Amino acid sequence: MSFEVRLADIRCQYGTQILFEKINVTIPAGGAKIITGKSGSGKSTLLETIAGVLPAQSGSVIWDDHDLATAPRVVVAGLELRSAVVFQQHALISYLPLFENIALPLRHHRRGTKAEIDEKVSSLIGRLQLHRVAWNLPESLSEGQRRLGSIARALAISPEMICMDEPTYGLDDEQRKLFQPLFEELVADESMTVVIATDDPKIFSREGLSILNLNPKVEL
Amino acid sequence: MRGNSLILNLGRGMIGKFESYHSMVGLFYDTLISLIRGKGRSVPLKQLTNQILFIGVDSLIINLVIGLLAGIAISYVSFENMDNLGVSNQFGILMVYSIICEMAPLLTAVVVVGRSGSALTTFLGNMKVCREIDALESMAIDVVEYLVLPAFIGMILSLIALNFYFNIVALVGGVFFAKITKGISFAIYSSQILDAMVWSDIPFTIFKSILYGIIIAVVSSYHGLVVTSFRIVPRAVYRSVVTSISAILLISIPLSVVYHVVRSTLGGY
Repeated sequence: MSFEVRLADIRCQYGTQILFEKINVTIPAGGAKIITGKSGSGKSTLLETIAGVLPAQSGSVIWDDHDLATAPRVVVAGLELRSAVVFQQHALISYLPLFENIALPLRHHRRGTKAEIDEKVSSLIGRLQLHRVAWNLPESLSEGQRRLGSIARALAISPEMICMDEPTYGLDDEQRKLFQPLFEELVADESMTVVIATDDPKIFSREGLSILNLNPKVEL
Repeated sequence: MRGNSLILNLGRGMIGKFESYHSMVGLFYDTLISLIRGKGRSVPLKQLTNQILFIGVDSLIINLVIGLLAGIAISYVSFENMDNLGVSNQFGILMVYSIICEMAPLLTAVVVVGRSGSALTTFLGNMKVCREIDALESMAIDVVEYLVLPAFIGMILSLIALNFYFNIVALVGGVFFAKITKGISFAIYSSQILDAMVWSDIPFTIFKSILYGIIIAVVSSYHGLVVTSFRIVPRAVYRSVVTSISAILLISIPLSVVYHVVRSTLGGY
């Protein structure tokens, strides 16, 4: 079961510059939202606020009827276990090989036996064609391989909500071809709420997909 | 106006310092709770092994060399001066108190601060800047439990072990130096050292290692976790080293004074 995400009167300001304000958006359970805008328009900040990585400066982020700022820590931790984030900087753990990076949330939260986890990780690695570099450390991977690795890590826990920041950044043509059907699958999957921040909305153009443009004026 | 701004800046600096000490105490509390709550089961074993290898095993050689040199130095200074003062029979007491109770835990801690404490701050600081800490949190992985707790336990266990080896090498080295340079019997001075020891010397030196281990782990982790950019990492490292050494010295002095009184009542000198 995916969960609904609601943003109520979200505002972000750095110094005297207002990045965005009066953001009132509801992303229904199983729905998808694309956040677009120019570089520096606050897409990543908004995405990370939605993902609960950054606390909202003002306003509320509500996951499944729980306000992230006021809900008890144990409730938020429970919700975090059901969601995943793909960071712009990939954020793979530098001392773990790619395979162990993808397996990390599964092993840490004991989501299956060792054989089950290894099988799940191998299948993700196979799908994203990362088998050749599965035991390499992140430092020896290309930008595209790191990006796909961090997407695989996010998908490993079968999240009910996934937030991806620039998921196609650094992907070559072939890797984009691998990503496209995966994206279609995620959007079509009603058991997963998808939020994507990108400055390349073309790849995500799809009929009926809800887009939030942060550029000239906030779309409410 | 200028005076006002100076006072304002001093005040802000002091408040900032107290806030950081308060946060360090908070981190220590969280680590302790994490340890108690998990009853040790939640400690990632691979992480703990890596920490013990890095802090303990990799520091062993430099620790042994420093221990040997310290033992020889104390032995040399003692023989040169104690004979003149007519108190050469106090050699054992001097070796026990200066090495077992003071120098071994202190010098071991200083070596570990410079080598492993600074490395821990850099490691966590880089992880913070590369968003790896955020990634762990977003996966609902408790950073204190996953990163700080193994370093905390590893630091304490490594310091106890390094302290033990330092003591052995320093005492044996000091006695051998006496034998070689002065030709004094190994057995006589060994028995002087054993006679000078009281039972509480061992738990006291272990207690100091535990305390210093806690200080190094908490201070180094704290300074790593508050890094905000790569530019700040070197500053965080020197702050972590200076704070750790200052805290260790500040604690070491009252601890030694109290122990001196306790030791006297237990039948020591």
